[in-house]
Amino acid sequence: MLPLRVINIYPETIVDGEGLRYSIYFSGCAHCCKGCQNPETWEYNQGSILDESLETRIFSEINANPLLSGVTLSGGDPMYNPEGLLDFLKKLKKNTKANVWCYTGFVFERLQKDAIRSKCLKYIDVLVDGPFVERKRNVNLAFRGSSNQRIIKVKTAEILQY
Amino acid sequence: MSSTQEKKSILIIKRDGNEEVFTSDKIRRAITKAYNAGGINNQALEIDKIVRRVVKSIDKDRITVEEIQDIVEHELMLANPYIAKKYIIYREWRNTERDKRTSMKRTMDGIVSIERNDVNLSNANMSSHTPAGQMMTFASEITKDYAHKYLIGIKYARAHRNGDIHIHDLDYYPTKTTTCVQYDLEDIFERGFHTKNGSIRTPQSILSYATLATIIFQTNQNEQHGGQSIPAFDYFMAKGVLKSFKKQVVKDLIFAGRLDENGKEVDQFKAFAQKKITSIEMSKKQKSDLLALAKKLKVKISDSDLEYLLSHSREQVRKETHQAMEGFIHNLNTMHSRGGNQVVFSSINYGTDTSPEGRMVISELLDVTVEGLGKGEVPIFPIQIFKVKDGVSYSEADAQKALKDFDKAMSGKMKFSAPNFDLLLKSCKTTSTSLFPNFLFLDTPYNVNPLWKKNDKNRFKYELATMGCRTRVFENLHGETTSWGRGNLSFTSMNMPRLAIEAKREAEEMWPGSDKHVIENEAKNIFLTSVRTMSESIAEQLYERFQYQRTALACQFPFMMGNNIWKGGKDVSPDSQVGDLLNHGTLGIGFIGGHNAMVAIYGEGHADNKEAYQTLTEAIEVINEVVVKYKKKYNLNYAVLATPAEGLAGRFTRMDREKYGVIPGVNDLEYYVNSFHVDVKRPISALEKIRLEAPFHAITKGGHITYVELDGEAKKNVKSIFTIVKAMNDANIGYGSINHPVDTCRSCGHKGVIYSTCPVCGSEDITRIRRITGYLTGSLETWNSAKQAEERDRVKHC
Repeated sequence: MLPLRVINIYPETIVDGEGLRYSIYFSGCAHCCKGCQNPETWEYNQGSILDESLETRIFSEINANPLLSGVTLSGGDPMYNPEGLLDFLKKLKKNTKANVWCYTGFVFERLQKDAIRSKCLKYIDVLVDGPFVERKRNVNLAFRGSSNQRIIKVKTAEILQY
Repeated sequence: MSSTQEKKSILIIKRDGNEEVFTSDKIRRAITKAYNAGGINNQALEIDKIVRRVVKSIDKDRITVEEIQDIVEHELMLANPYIAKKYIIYREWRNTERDKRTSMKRTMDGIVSIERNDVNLSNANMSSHTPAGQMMTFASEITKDYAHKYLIGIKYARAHRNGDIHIHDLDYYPTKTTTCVQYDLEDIFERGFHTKNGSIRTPQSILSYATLATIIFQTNQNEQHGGQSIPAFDYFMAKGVLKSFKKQVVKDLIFAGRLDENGKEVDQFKAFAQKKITSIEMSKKQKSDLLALAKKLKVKISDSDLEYLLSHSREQVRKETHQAMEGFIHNLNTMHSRGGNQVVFSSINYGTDTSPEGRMVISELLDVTVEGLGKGEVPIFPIQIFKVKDGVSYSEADAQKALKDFDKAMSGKMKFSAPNFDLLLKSCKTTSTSLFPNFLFLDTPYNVNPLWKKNDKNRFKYELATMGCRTRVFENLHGETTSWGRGNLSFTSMNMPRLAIEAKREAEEMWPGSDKHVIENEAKNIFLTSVRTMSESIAEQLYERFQYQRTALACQFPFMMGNNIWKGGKDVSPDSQVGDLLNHGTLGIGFIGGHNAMVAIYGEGHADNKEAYQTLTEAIEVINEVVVKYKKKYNLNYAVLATPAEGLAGRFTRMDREKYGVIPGVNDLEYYVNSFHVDVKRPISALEKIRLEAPFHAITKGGHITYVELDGEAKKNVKSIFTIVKAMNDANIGYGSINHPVDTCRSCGHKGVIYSTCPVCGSEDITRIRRITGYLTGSLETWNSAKQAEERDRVKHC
């Protein structure tokens, strides 16, 4: 199994979802959207390998901060490496019970059909889906860059309005 | 004499850069004066000898005045040390005098040429490049000089000049002004008030209420050197809303009943409105009484007509209130005071009036704040402060409920137990776009007032209100615990890092080569002792100023005293001294650079080092002990102030760099960190910052504020704001504020986080609003250099 690699961690951010969130940015993305905000994250071979000690650190930091509304996975595309992600999501939920937001360049419907990625969805509370489309860019949107992207409550498939 | 001729070719370089041929006459004259000063006359021979030796020692063709004086000093020391001393003292005195003249000249030149220097930018709220602003700055430099030379005890003047302390608002010292005051608007409105040119009657509508409030702000600002504040804005304005409503109901009855405006029915309705209507939400009884009256007067109005009519009246009054609040905010950002060079340093406190009228005021005010000024600009004034009070504007159950489904909570569809909890949420939303309101926590133990009773209609008087910048006036040796009608008299801050640097050096000298802990411990003890000495010295200096302030005549403050804005003012005749009237004001002993001081001793700040945290706490407790001592000694309201460091942030640091050289982590930046604040550069979670700083609030009762910095667009994430407000409340913060970048594109009006160019229209013309010592300032460029550097280094929570 390919390990997840972490490029960056923001222990408290307000830009990656509702409330104060703990954000983890993974390396690797195959969508390569034109106008991407972080093209430097596309390359998989960078950042720290998410090993047990890093996981432990992450879980303890999350648990130590009662102000967090949850955890956000971003990148890159966390779904770039679904096996690694699934494994991490299980541990994340078990160890922190955090509300999880996940960003991805895939659309929700495609993930639902994907054998392993659909399993990941079970551990994700809110999915921000779809590629960044430059001509649909709107700076007034909350938590996303272009209007095609949706904020989806995974359990009910309800599209949230922010 | 012969020696002069021998050295004919020497040129002397004068201080202004001109050169002239050297003659020994001037040296002879200076030395003779020194001998005379020493009481020795008729020593021509000895003097001649010295002059010759001086001339002989000149070993170059061109020499400066200072160099010659050095030689004279040297030769005098050899010949007659007693006379040498006289010469040195005289030389030093001349240097100081000369420097005084030329530095004043330089200062004036700077004002004239509108340099972007720190004299002109020391106050972020003043347009110092305008004629009125220039006049003010000229005056200010002169009065500072005057105060220094003739009003302040030599010891304190020297301490100020050396940078051991900072006597704030020194330019106003000669005017005997006090700092700030919180207005009892109810009292002022009920009695009406007068200005130089006439009297104002009790206002009769919300529009007049709001307008008069701005006039009071504008007028009273001229009589003080600090901020102006309204302690219960919602409560004071609510009466205006009710008055407008009464008028509107009558108007609507005239319309609905097709009445003659001058008819007797209208008089009866007016009388009814005056006597019976007590709320914009009329009770069933009031409505049926009104219907009965209509019937008696043969005016046909059905039940449902009346409901419709009253809702129409309410809507009209809401619109009027909106307009009133709009005018209020616009006026406070445009009306200039103090000779026209700056807007009023205004603050308003609100949040606890649960009446429908008070709630309407708060709600419309928040809407107007979001809408902004003419082009949507973020209003810089007034500083708005929302009072968080359990059971009134907050409850733990409401907070939990809202956090669970924040969207629903914000939508207005959720029911809350605290009547103004919805307005707290709305305030969070407002602050996410407009940086105001800030939040004042009334349940924090030291902010609780035993005189406050939930069902007392006068409870507002017993609620803490703060000056927006942080000055807190509450406890009182000379009357009830209240913020109303009182204010700060003056405050002076100590340079805490300098005390720590000195302490560390002394400890190192005492225990050379000793263990780090031994030295740190020794340094700590020396530091605490010098904090005590310095606090006592400041306490005495404040008392000296207080004694001087007391001698002001009441007529120097005709508005503030004549209208009883400063409580008690009306009891003193205009030509009497204010004297004891000032007793209920406060005297602030401030400090800055707690963090830097701790780095000086421990090599780490108080956020990183437990001992440092303990030491800083003890140091502030020492200041409190001095406060207790002096409260007793002079029976005055001394308090510890976490100094707002505007203008001071750079001065101490610059001086300490000159004095001690650069000490990494202590004075290597352009500024010292605010009061007890955690280093702005340190990455720290919001909660950690709140928890580290909260205990300091409890021991700085003269005023304090904690900031949490957010990066990113808070308006898209109001929940994050509420989360932090709740955390502040839970951690017993006294007064807190949330900072985040609010950039506005001047071309298209887009608001958000704008990096270099506007993401909407590509313009580079961007206004960047940031907070400085509690106040917002128009744009980052108007900050002084130290504050700009501090903003740059602040770690954002993102």
